[in-house]
This record gives sequence, structure tokens and C-alpha cells, in this order.
Amino acid sequence: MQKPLSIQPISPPPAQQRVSRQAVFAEEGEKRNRYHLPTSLDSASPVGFRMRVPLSTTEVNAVLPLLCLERPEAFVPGPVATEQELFEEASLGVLSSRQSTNFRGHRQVTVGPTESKRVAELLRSMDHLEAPVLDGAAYTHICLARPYRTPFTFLLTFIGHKKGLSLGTVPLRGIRKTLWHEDDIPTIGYLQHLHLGIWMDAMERAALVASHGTRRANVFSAPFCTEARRKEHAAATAELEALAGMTTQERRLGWRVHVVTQVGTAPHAVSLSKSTWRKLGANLVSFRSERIQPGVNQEEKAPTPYHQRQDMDVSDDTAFQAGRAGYNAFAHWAGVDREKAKELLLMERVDVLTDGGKERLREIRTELGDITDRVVDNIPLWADLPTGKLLSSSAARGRKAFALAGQRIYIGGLDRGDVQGAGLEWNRAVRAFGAAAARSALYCELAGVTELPADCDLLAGICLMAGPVNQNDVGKQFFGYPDLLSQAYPDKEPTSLLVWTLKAKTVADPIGNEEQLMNPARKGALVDLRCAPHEVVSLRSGERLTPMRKREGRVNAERAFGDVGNFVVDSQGKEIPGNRGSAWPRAWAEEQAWSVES
Amino acid sequence: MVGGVMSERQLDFDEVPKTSLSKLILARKPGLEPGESIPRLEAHLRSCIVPTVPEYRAVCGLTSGPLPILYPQILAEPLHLALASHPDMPLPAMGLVHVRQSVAQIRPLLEGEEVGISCWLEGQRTARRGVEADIHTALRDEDGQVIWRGISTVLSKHGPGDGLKRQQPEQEPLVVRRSAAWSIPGNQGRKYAKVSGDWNPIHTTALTAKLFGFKRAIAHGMWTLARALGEMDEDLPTHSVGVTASFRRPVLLPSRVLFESGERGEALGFEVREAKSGRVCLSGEINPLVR
Repeated sequence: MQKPLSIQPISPPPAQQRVSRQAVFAEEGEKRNRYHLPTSLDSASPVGFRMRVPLSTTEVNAVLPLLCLERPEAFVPGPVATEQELFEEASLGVLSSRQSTNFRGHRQVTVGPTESKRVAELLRSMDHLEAPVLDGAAYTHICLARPYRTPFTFLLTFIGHKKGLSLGTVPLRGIRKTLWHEDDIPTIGYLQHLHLGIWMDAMERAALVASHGTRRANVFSAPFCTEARRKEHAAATAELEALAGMTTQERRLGWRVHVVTQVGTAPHAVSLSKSTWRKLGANLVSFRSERIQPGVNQEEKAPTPYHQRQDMDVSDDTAFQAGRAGYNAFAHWAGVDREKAKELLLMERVDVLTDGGKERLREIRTELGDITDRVVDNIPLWADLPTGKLLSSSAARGRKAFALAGQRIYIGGLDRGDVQGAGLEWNRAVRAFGAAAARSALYCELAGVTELPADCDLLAGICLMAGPVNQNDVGKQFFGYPDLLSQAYPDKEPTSLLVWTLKAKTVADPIGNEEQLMNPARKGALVDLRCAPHEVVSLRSGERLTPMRKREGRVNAERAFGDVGNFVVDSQGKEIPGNRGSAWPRAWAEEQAWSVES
Repeated sequence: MVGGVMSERQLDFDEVPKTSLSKLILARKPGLEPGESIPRLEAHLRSCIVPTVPEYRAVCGLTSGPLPILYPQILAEPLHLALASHPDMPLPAMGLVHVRQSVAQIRPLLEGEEVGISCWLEGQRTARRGVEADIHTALRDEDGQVIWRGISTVLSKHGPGDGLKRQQPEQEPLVVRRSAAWSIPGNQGRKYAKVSGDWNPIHTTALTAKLFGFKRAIAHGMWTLARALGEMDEDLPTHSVGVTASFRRPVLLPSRVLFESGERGEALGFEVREAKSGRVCLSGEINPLVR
């Protein structure tokens, strides 16, 4: 059983210390930087540039049960989902759940009630189910994922080779990565499962929020968490893949069914006011990583608000509740009780507010810096020189991703032996860990909008980072460094998986990084574009697979929960052209996704 | 004249007339001298059946439902071309620039419905760089009731302009409710030409557009307007509706433009602007029609 949560609001600083972004558009001829607002937005993503929406303490307390949802026990007949509801559900799930921004490794195929019956039969034929399969699903999401591959993992191909042998070992590793989907370092492989856990946790809430409390999700991940388990149910898995329209080529690229989610009408609706559902949805698409702690790790060129330290803190009570949310999630998804969850989750607090924290932070920074130096030295010259030292300079730039700044910083991980001892599959535990991280982060983000004053962008933010852990893993695998958690857990064999950096602050990060995400002209500068619905979500109706919101020459321009109006504006209230988006034609949005008879 | 009877300045057709593009391009027209005026010319099509227009909807991003509000303009296009190629029309058809459009839909038209179409040319005005004329269109139902009216204002530089810059009327600011960016592909002109029959070379390829003084091919104004109306979808009044639009500058192909719509005073206003420069290409208003 998950423990209930209560909101522990974060106190804003004195009025004179309250700063907000107050971003402006670049003047004509002025050189633009990431602190300026983008000139326009051309994106089919449902997210856009959004601001957080203030919630009252009463509203947040009403919402918090959504952070400790138990599985539905039954589905009952209910209204057929509209296209709009499916769009909003996908917007809170696969299209926005906290994922690495340059990893397009998830896809969702949603099948209607008829196929859902068949999917339920297939699920029932499988072992390792974490819950009973329910009858009467309104629709079912078949969730596909592929191994984590980004420009960073391409760079990793060149790391950790012996000088004399690299000409042979680099291509060999490249081949193994391509053909057998092997990872350069284990934590890259775990990223796929961390992301899946994050997505699974988001899906439970997404179904509820998009249906305003009437529909619930029943998520199955355990039968698909390893290749061996998939092989145990090869025929059923193959049929699921066929339903998802997966091609041989996609299988070759590593795409697999990883999660199946039944969605149906719950016997008892969750009752919240319509405005609370809408504000919650708008907040969920607005939450994003906050990397800057004002007055600590801001860039020199950052505007004044980022240079100012603020007298505010993430309280013990807030951190305690965030931890509870995390343990709830781990217990829920790993299928263990909360005490076991606490035992399995390894956490080290390393911030400046703890005893010796400053020294420990310095130590970690030095260690990660040393690993980076060794990586740069180790990159084979035969690959680096012809590319104008692109590889080594990219590796050196990675230091930015390791900056640990925040009032509360935790390193989290798992011990493989403990996980096995608890009878858990490692991948399933890693998924549960990802869900725990996301849910604890969500708690902090909700605390950060509770009673949010008008002159603040937020009161708390969080950044979940895999960068420091991956860099430490590079050190572990190739240069003999210990795991980041080894000091805190000397009697265990820990594998660190993620770092949480929590910040109490009132000024939101600039949206420059997101502009790189969304502005096609800058595609490839740092990260990829956010996904549009038609790129990653398909709906199956009979034999037909239809991309979501791609129809008769049009693609989506709607921002999910845009009716709340939380679009970024400049200090004069001017909007970013194109950011507000444009609603999908009502006639199409109101169509039932599947005919009642089907 | 196939299927039609021609009096001096009134053309009556039983069937949809066909005017070849080459005839329009090659026709030698004197232009308008100071003091001359454009005669009133008329063309009438006794009846035609309103077709189903899935391709038009797809090209313009329109949902299904009654006939799209601008489609009657396409139905009337052959009559417009017949007027443009009339021997008494002094202005060459090539080089006519569509500068404004107003539409009054009294009631939605239904696909499969029989209608009669009348067009006439009148309303000559001197403009800064030439002369403007209005092409009126009216569609009547079987009872002879007007159910759709349109006025297309065209500018010809083959007439005497007065060189005076006219002030745009003061507009109330747009309270934006929708804001979307469109990436318009280079072949958009050809796609629209296929469904509208308007193969004016300024819309089809960069090369042919250059022959007429454009840097690249330009989008059909009526496509831009139809796409804008499609974007507004449920914001549009459903029955009797009036649309006015000014085509301020051409939308070059390919290009990226920004669409915005929202309240402008009592009306629903909209604009299409160049994404890079912010210059307005199309602006317009929609009002419920008071009958």
C-alpha cells in the first residue's frame, strides 16, 4: 500500500528577493542568446513554451492522491473516448513524460475495444504479470521502445579503447552496438528502462487527467522487461508486435514491445473540479528541468535575476514527502512493500547543507573532471583529427552536463545483489527506480507551484540528471574508478542510476534549450526536436493504423491544455508568435476514436 | 463560345465555359488610358451542380461539412476567366493582382445542390499604382434566391495610377486566441492549381513567376485565405457569415508564415505574416452576417 502524501509548500523569499524571468525579445540587430525569447515557434508538439500555473493548497492536496494511485480493480462500460481525450492523454504520456530530450526512443500504438479484448487474452497467456488483466478495456496502448542511442552514445563508441588496438576495437564495438544493441557502458542500457519507468508512471495519471477522473490505466511491464521474458511468450509478443504494426526493419533497429497498458472506465470516478483538472494538465506539460540555482551556477552573461541568491529553502518536510512519493512509486512498480522499497533504494545526500557535503561535492566534481580529462586523452586520434577534433571537444563540453548545483542533491541507485535477493528482475527494478525518481520530482514541482505568488515563476524546481552517473560509469568501466555510491554504501555493490538536484528559487531557467528542441532551423545544435503526435502515436482501427493528428494535409498545432492559457509572454505580455498554437478542428477532435460497435 | 450565347457584353452559358491559358496569356490588351473606363461585363451560368470537394478540403486543410465557404469562388472561376478574356476587357488578364476579397455566405451550400452563377465586372477605382476593379459573383439557389455573394478586387498596373499612398484604416488590435506557424512547401501553388483550375504561372514555378516579376512562385491568395479559415474552424459562425480579406503582400513559396486569429473589436480578426520579417501578407475579418 502506498502512503498518502500531503503538501508541504515552499515559502517564497522576502518580496525584495523575488525575481522572475521577465524575458524579452531581442531588439532588431541585437545578438540573440538563450535568455531572449524565441522569435516564433513552429512545432506540432503539444507542449510549446509554457509557464507554471499557480495552484492553491486545497487544489494540490486534492491532486496528491494522483501521486499514489493503486491499480484499477475493474473496468465498467463508459463513453467511448474522443480523439481529443486520446490526444491529451498522449500529451501527458509519451509526448511529454520526463525523457531525455534528444532521445526519440518511444512509440505508442493504441488499439480500440475489439483489439483490446485480444490483447487481454494475450496478456492472460503470459507469466510474470504484476496484476490481474481486466476485462472491458476501452482501449489499450502497446508501448514500444528501442535502446538509448543519441549523439552522446555515438561518442561513447570511441571511448575506452587501447591505443594500439583502437583501429580494430572501435569498429568492432560499433558493429556490436548496431547488430546486437550492446551498450558501451551498462548505465546507457539502464537509461532505456529508467525512461520506461518514467513513462509508465506518467501514463497512470495521464489517463485520469485526460478523462477528468473517469478512466484508469492498468500498466503491464514485467512480462516484457527482458529479452528472455519476451522469448518465454514469443508467440503472444509477436502478435502484439503485429498489432502495433512493427516491421522487420524496426525489430532490427531494436524496437520491442516493452509495456502494455489497458485503459478503461473506472467504477468510481476521481472527483476534482474541471478547472483543477485543466490546471493540473497544463502544469504537467509545463514542468521541465531546472538547472540553474541563482547565484550559484549561473553563466556570467545571464541576466541579473539569475545572479541573485535567494533566502529560501527546500524544507526537510518537503524533501521527506518527496521521498515518500518516490518510495510509493518504487513499491508500486517493483511490486514490493514500502519497507523493502526503502531497503532497496540507495540514496546519498551530497549537498552543501549536509555535514561534509561541500567537500563531497568537490570530490565528485574533481573525479568527474578527471574522468573527462582521461576520456579526452583517450579518444583515438585517427578518428578525432579528421573530424577537426569534434569528438574530443564534444567530450570536453560534456562537463556542463555534470554540474551539480542545488540545495538538496541526492545520488540514487540500486544494488544488483539486493535486487536479485528480493526476487526482482534487474530491469524491472530499474524501471521502478525511474518511476520513483519522476514521481518524487513531480511532488517537488507541485510544491513549487503551490500558492505561487504572481511575481514568481516557481518556488521549487528539480533536475534529474543521468550525466554524472554515465560519466562515473565511463570511469568505472574503463579507468578503474569506484561507483559514486561506493563511499556511502561500502558494504554493497551499488550501481548509481540518477542524480536529483532540488532547487528552491523563484526564477525559471531560460527556454533557450527548448528553443533548440523546437526550432527546426537549429535542429542538431544540441538536441533533437520534441515529437509531434503523428510521429510517435498511431491509432489502430481494424486493419488500419492512423498516425495521431495527421489528416488531410494537416498536422497538429494544438497545445494540450492550452485553454488554461499558460503561455510564455515577455514583460509587456507579448506572446511568442506561434506558441499558443491552434486547436485541432473540433469536428475531428470530437470524433469517437473507435465506433461503438467495434 | 461552347454551350453559351454571347450578346455584346453579356455572356450566357448553359455549360461551364472553358478558356485556355494560352488565350489569356497571349491576348493583346491595350490597357486603360486616362479618362477611359472598364465597361460592365457580365457572365451567367444557368446551372451547375455543387460537387464534392475532398481534394480541395485536403489541400486547404478543411474539415468535412457543408461546402467550404470559399469554394463558390472556384465554381465561378471559369466565368471570371471568360470575363477576363472578353474582347471588350481592356486590361490584360496576366498581371491582375488579387488585392481584396469579400464573401457573404447567406446560407451554407450543400454538395450536390444545383445553383446558378452570375458574375459581372464593375466598380473601377484609381489606385496608387494602377487601377482597381471589382469582379462580383453571386450564386442563386433553384428558387433564384441569392445564397452566396463575393467581390474580388483586382489591381492592374495597365491603367493610370494616381501615385497617392492610401492610409490603411485604423484597426483595433488583435486579441490573439490562435497562433500557429505554417511551413508552406514549394509545390503548394501547383497543388492548389490542381483543385482550383487556376494555373496562373505566377503560382506554379519559380521560373514562370520570375517572368512576371516575382522572385519566386507565390501562393494563391484564395488558398492562403481558405487555409486561414480552415485554421479557425469552430471559431467561425456556422450559418450566415461575412468574410473580408486584404492580400497585402504575396506569400512566396516555399516559406514559413505565422497565422494569428482572435477578437478584433466585435469581429473575429486574422492575419498571416511572414515569419521572418513579421510583415503582414493577409489580414481579414469575419462577422456573422446580419440579414
